[in-house]
Amino acid sequence: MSEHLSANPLALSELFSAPRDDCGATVAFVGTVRNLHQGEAVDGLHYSAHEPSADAALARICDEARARFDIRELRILHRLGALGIGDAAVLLVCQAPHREAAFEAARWALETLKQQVPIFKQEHYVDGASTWLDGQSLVTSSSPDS
Amino acid sequence: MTVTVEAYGKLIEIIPQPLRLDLPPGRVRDVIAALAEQFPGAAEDWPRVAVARGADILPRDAAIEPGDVLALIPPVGGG
Repeated sequence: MSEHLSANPLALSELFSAPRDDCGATVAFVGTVRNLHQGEAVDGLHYSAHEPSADAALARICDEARARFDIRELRILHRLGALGIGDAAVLLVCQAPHREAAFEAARWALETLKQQVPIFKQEHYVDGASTWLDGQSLVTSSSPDS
Repeated sequence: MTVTVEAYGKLIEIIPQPLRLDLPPGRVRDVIAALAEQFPGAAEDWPRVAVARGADILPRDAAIEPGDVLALIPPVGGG
Protein backbone atom coordinates (compact mmCIF):
# COMPACT_ATOMS: atom_id res chain seq x y z
CA MET A 1 0.00 0.00 0.00
CA SER A 2 2.72 2.47 1.08
CA GLU A 3 5.64 2.79 3.44
CA HIS A 4 3.53 4.02 6.37
CA LEU A 5 0.04 2.63 5.69
CA SER A 6 -1.11 -0.96 5.70
CA ALA A 7 -4.38 -2.76 5.00
CA ASN A 8 -3.08 -5.84 6.79
CA PRO A 9 -2.82 -6.62 10.54
CA LEU A 10 0.20 -4.88 12.06
CA ALA A 11 3.13 -6.57 13.79
CA LEU A 12 5.96 -4.82 15.61
CA SER A 13 8.41 -7.06 13.80
CA GLU A 14 7.66 -4.99 10.67
CA LEU A 15 9.33 -1.99 12.34
CA PHE A 16 11.87 -3.51 14.68
CA SER A 17 14.05 -6.56 14.61
CA ALA A 18 17.14 -5.63 16.65
CA PRO A 19 18.48 -2.56 18.43
CA ARG A 20 21.02 -0.40 16.67
CA ASP A 21 24.55 -0.54 18.04
CA ASP A 22 24.56 3.22 18.64
CA CYS A 23 21.27 3.22 20.61
CA GLY A 24 20.68 2.37 24.26
CA ALA A 25 16.93 3.00 24.20
CA THR A 26 14.11 1.63 22.08
CA VAL A 27 10.56 2.85 22.68
CA ALA A 28 7.76 0.89 21.03
CA PHE A 29 4.15 2.06 21.04
CA VAL A 30 1.12 0.04 19.97
CA GLY A 31 -2.20 1.87 19.73
CA THR A 32 -5.09 -0.59 19.90
CA VAL A 33 -8.87 -0.45 19.50
CA ARG A 34 -10.63 -0.33 22.87
CA ASN A 35 -14.18 -1.45 23.59
CA LEU A 36 -15.53 1.80 25.03
CA HIS A 37 -15.63 5.41 23.82
CA GLN A 38 -17.36 8.10 25.85
CA GLY A 39 -19.67 5.57 27.44
CA GLU A 40 -20.59 3.83 24.17
CA ALA A 41 -19.82 0.13 23.73
CA VAL A 42 -17.60 -0.07 20.65
CA ASP A 43 -17.75 -3.00 18.25
CA GLY A 44 -14.94 -1.90 15.94
CA LEU A 45 -13.42 0.86 13.83
CA HIS A 46 -12.86 1.59 10.20
CA TYR A 47 -9.88 3.71 9.19
CA SER A 48 -9.60 5.30 5.77
CA ALA A 49 -7.08 7.77 4.41
CA HIS A 50 -6.22 10.06 1.55
CA GLU A 51 -3.19 7.91 0.94
CA PRO A 52 -0.89 10.28 -1.02
CA SER A 53 -1.04 13.05 1.58
CA ALA A 54 -1.25 10.70 4.57
CA ASP A 55 1.87 8.79 3.55
CA ALA A 56 3.71 12.06 2.88
CA ALA A 57 2.62 13.49 6.25
CA LEU A 58 3.81 10.39 8.11
CA ALA A 59 7.17 10.52 6.31
CA ARG A 60 7.46 14.21 7.21
CA ILE A 61 6.76 13.46 10.89
CA CYS A 62 9.48 10.78 10.95
CA ASP A 63 11.96 13.16 9.30
CA GLU A 64 11.07 16.06 11.58
CA ALA A 65 11.36 13.89 14.70
CA ARG A 66 14.89 12.95 13.67
CA ALA A 67 15.71 16.64 13.25
CA ARG A 68 14.08 17.83 16.51
CA PHE A 69 15.26 15.13 18.92
CA ASP A 70 18.50 13.31 19.61
CA ILE A 71 17.28 10.06 18.12
CA ARG A 72 18.61 7.80 15.39
CA GLU A 73 15.44 6.25 14.00
CA LEU A 74 11.69 6.69 14.21
CA ARG A 75 9.26 4.61 12.22
CA ILE A 76 5.45 4.65 12.08
CA LEU A 77 2.95 2.26 10.53
CA HIS A 78 -0.81 2.99 10.54
CA ARG A 79 -3.52 0.45 9.78
CA LEU A 80 -6.36 1.08 7.35
CA GLY A 81 -9.62 -0.83 6.89
CA ALA A 82 -11.86 -2.63 9.39
CA LEU A 83 -10.43 -3.28 12.86
CA GLY A 84 -11.87 -5.25 15.76
CA ILE A 85 -11.42 -4.72 19.48
CA GLY A 86 -7.78 -5.22 20.42
CA ASP A 87 -6.46 -4.85 16.90
CA ALA A 88 -3.41 -2.63 16.47
CA ALA A 89 -4.25 0.70 14.78
CA VAL A 90 -0.83 2.30 14.88
CA LEU A 91 2.72 1.19 15.60
CA LEU A 92 5.67 3.42 16.40
CA VAL A 93 9.25 2.48 17.15
CA CYS A 94 11.86 5.01 18.18
CA GLN A 95 15.55 4.29 18.78
CA ALA A 96 17.86 6.76 20.49
CA PRO A 97 21.15 6.77 22.37
CA HIS A 98 19.26 7.67 25.59
CA ARG A 99 15.73 7.08 26.88
CA GLU A 100 14.68 10.70 27.44
CA ALA A 101 14.87 11.59 23.77
CA ALA A 102 13.29 8.30 22.73
CA PHE A 103 10.23 8.88 24.95
CA GLU A 104 9.92 12.56 23.99
CA ALA A 105 10.19 11.91 20.27
CA ALA A 106 7.68 9.05 20.39
CA ARG A 107 5.17 11.18 22.27
CA TRP A 108 5.65 14.15 19.94
CA ALA A 109 5.29 12.00 16.83
CA LEU A 110 2.05 10.40 18.01
CA GLU A 111 0.48 13.70 19.01
CA THR A 112 1.52 15.22 15.68
CA LEU A 113 0.10 12.24 13.80
CA LYS A 114 -3.30 12.88 15.37
CA GLN A 115 -3.15 16.54 14.33
CA GLN A 116 -1.71 16.38 10.82
CA VAL A 117 -2.26 13.08 9.00
CA PRO A 118 -5.27 12.70 6.65
CA ILE A 119 -6.65 9.55 8.24
CA PHE A 120 -10.34 9.27 9.10
CA LYS A 121 -11.91 7.14 11.83
CA GLN A 122 -15.42 5.76 11.76
CA GLU A 123 -16.48 4.12 15.00
CA HIS A 124 -19.04 1.29 15.00
CA TYR A 125 -21.02 0.58 18.15
CA VAL A 126 -22.49 -2.60 19.58
CA ASP A 127 -26.03 -1.23 19.10
CA GLY A 128 -25.46 -0.95 15.33
CA ALA A 129 -24.94 2.80 15.18
CA SER A 130 -21.78 4.40 13.84
CA THR A 131 -20.18 7.84 13.76
CA TRP A 132 -17.26 9.62 12.14
CA LEU A 133 -15.03 10.98 14.89
CA ASP A 134 -14.20 14.65 14.64
CA GLY A 135 -10.62 15.85 14.76
CA GLN A 136 -8.21 18.53 13.63
CA SER A 137 -8.91 20.59 10.50
CA LEU A 138 -5.99 20.89 8.04
CA VAL A 139 -7.27 24.12 6.49
CA THR A 140 -4.72 26.87 6.00
CA SER A 141 -5.77 30.27 4.74
CA SER A 142 -2.79 31.24 2.64
CA SER A 143 0.43 29.88 1.21
CA PRO A 144 3.60 30.56 3.26
CA ASP A 145 5.01 32.97 0.69
CA SER A 146 1.83 34.93 0.02
CA MET B 1 -12.77 24.69 -16.59
CA THR B 2 -13.52 21.25 -15.20
CA VAL B 3 -12.05 19.72 -12.06
CA THR B 4 -12.69 16.34 -10.45
CA VAL B 5 -13.48 16.20 -6.76
CA GLU B 6 -12.88 13.15 -4.58
CA ALA B 7 -14.49 12.90 -1.14
CA TYR B 8 -12.89 11.33 1.93
CA GLY B 9 -13.99 10.55 5.48
CA LYS B 10 -17.54 11.48 6.33
CA LEU B 11 -17.89 13.48 3.11
CA ILE B 12 -18.35 10.21 1.20
CA GLU B 13 -21.85 10.14 2.68
CA ILE B 14 -22.70 13.55 1.23
CA ILE B 15 -20.91 13.91 -2.09
CA PRO B 16 -21.63 11.52 -4.98
CA GLN B 17 -18.54 10.01 -6.60
CA PRO B 18 -17.07 10.80 -8.98
CA LEU B 19 -18.00 14.49 -8.99
CA ARG B 20 -16.94 16.86 -11.75
CA LEU B 21 -17.32 20.59 -11.27
CA ASP B 22 -17.42 23.20 -14.00
CA LEU B 23 -15.97 26.39 -12.58
CA PRO B 24 -14.47 29.65 -13.81
CA PRO B 25 -10.71 29.88 -13.19
CA GLY B 26 -10.16 30.43 -9.50
CA ARG B 27 -8.68 29.29 -6.23
CA VAL B 28 -9.31 26.63 -3.64
CA ARG B 29 -11.68 28.92 -1.77
CA ASP B 30 -13.83 29.16 -4.91
CA VAL B 31 -14.09 25.37 -5.12
CA ILE B 32 -15.19 25.23 -1.49
CA ALA B 33 -17.74 27.98 -2.11
CA ALA B 34 -19.16 26.09 -5.10
CA LEU B 35 -19.42 22.89 -3.07
CA ALA B 36 -21.06 24.71 -0.18
CA GLU B 37 -23.69 26.01 -2.57
CA GLN B 38 -24.24 22.60 -4.15
CA PHE B 39 -24.26 20.69 -0.82
CA PRO B 40 -25.73 23.05 1.77
CA GLY B 41 -26.48 20.10 4.07
CA ALA B 42 -22.82 20.10 5.06
CA ALA B 43 -22.68 23.87 5.55
CA GLU B 44 -21.08 23.76 8.98
CA ASP B 45 -18.34 21.44 7.71
CA TRP B 46 -17.04 23.37 4.70
CA PRO B 47 -14.87 25.91 6.59
CA ARG B 48 -13.01 22.93 8.12
CA VAL B 49 -12.58 20.91 4.90
CA ALA B 50 -9.07 21.04 3.45
CA VAL B 51 -8.23 20.37 -0.19
CA ALA B 52 -5.34 18.24 -1.42
CA ARG B 53 -3.79 17.88 -4.86
CA GLY B 54 -1.64 14.76 -4.92
CA ALA B 55 0.32 14.66 -1.67
CA ASP B 56 0.00 18.40 -1.04
CA ILE B 57 -2.58 20.10 1.17
CA LEU B 58 -3.42 23.34 -0.61
CA PRO B 59 -3.97 26.68 1.11
CA ARG B 60 -7.26 28.43 0.41
CA ASP B 61 -5.56 30.91 -1.94
CA ALA B 62 -3.88 28.28 -4.14
CA ALA B 63 -4.78 28.49 -7.82
CA ILE B 64 -6.77 25.66 -9.39
CA GLU B 65 -5.83 24.36 -12.83
CA PRO B 66 -8.10 22.79 -15.47
CA GLY B 67 -8.19 19.01 -15.05
CA ASP B 68 -7.09 19.07 -11.41
CA VAL B 69 -8.11 16.11 -9.27
CA LEU B 70 -8.84 17.53 -5.84
CA ALA B 71 -9.31 15.56 -2.64
CA LEU B 72 -11.65 16.90 0.04
CA ILE B 73 -10.07 16.29 3.45
CA PRO B 74 -12.39 16.67 6.45
CA PRO B 75 -10.91 17.00 9.97
CA VAL B 76 -8.46 14.16 10.58
CA GLY B 77 -8.63 11.51 13.29
CA GLY B 78 -5.87 8.95 13.00
CA GLY B 79 -4.10 7.14 15.82
